[in-house]
Amino acid sequence: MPVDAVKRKTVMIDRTLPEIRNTLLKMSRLDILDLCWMLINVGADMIEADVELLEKMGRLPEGLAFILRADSIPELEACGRFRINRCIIQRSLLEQPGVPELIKKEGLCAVLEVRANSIGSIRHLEGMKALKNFEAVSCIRVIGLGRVDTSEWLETMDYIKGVLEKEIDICPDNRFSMGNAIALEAAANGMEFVTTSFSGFGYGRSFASLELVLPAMKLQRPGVRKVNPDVLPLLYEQFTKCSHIKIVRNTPVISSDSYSERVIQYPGDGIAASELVDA
Amino acid sequence: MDVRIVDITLRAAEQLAGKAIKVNQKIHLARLLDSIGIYQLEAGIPALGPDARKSMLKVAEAGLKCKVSSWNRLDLNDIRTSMGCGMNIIHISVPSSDMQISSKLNKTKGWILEYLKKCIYECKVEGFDVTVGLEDASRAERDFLYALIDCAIAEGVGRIRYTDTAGLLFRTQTYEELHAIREKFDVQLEISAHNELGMAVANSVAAVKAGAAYASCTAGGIGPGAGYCSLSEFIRAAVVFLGACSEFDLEQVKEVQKEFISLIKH
Repeated sequence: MPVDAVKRKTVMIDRTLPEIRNTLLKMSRLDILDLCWMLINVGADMIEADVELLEKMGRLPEGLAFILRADSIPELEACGRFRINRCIIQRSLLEQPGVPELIKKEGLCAVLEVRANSIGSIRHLEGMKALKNFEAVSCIRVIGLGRVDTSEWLETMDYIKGVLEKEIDICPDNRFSMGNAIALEAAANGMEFVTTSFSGFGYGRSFASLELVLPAMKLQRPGVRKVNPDVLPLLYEQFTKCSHIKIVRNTPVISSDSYSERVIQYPGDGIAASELVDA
Repeated sequence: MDVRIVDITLRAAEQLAGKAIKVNQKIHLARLLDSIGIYQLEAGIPALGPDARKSMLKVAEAGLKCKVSSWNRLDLNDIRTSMGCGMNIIHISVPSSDMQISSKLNKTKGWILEYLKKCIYECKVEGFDVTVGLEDASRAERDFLYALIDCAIAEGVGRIRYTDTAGLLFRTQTYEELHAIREKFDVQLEISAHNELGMAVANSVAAVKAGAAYASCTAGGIGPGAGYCSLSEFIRAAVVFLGACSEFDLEQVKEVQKEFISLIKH
């Protein structure tokens, strides 16, 4: 991981790549690498990938930080091969025999992905402490949070963080248009990681949008985070090339120190609203 | 919790560069929007010219169930023009932040307050219902914002539109801002959230939780910049988070949005 990424309070993880790969579209090695570099250049700290993507990339370039989504023991073992020290696992894998030993042997930071949709279900995460092999986990990624409509969830999450004594990665979905607000609240309130995707793209779902959360974080804590809007047009083109999804550009009204050139607006309900401007 | 939808699609469409809606299309769209159950339709900006005024008059005469309003700058000439368009409500948008005041009006705050009084008075004398919009309220000095609200209430205005013109608010701030106004003033509040940071829906929901009774939306979230709060997304969120808007048929709303997009594109 780049040094400046760890120094920051919140590390931004981007999960665009595995979401595109889930669509079964073919991406070339160069397409994948270009997309990775652009995501990092625009302001993401770490790229989420799976074994198939990493194998396609071959030797991983210096300067790109990856987190590997591992669904099986062989995939977990692949971390060593790719010199990756951070992985995302599900409970089913965590509880398999030998997994804690493997995590320890490979020196991995294991991120356990769990779902919580409401404040009530966040509270239930307390019970995870009783999970088999829980001590092998370094970080909890909470996905969902779609029904969290006020910032009150933070208090509950702080309590859970204290009980579980783990780092927290917040990956909100955007089903009810709250994803960006939740991602931002997570960053502002000391969650170690926030996971988003470019334009909020998700295979069969949507997430908080990297390109919207980043400038918001910059506005919230000026000087803490580098955001490079100049890369956005290229990133947009690359994303469209890889995903075949056209996201149309719109012109922002935001203050001049943020994205002064373009903001990419993602469509609501399948309607590319800003097509009106670009069509 | 109850919330009324103020649809500003027609006005927002007029602000999109290079896109013009024909009069008959505008009436068709107004009827569609009316049919889904919105409370108010902002039909346009009369100051844009004779075509805009003609189409607004036609919309006003279309026999809609919803209230029909016009959007006006803080300018007596604009407002007088608006009076001939058959509107139920005249909306006056007042620049409230220092940035907007200097770039749009270049007048003192004292002048703005006095002039706002005149504008409201003239509308009231002619029997119009008036709403006042606080343009760029999220960047305004709070004392001046409150002075504007005070002034509007004193002149008989019953509803204030809080506009986050730059789309800079986060939802906690939105809640606090609207809640503070609600606590201090006996006036109905409307939220007009822009989507520059993708939080227009979240901010609109937060505003309603803080006491706003009206929310401005557009079909598909269209509008200048990154657009406004999307009508369908707001309704969906309002059903889940506010227990409101259940009277809307979301599928119908989406159909209207699609038809609007198609009208504009061709």
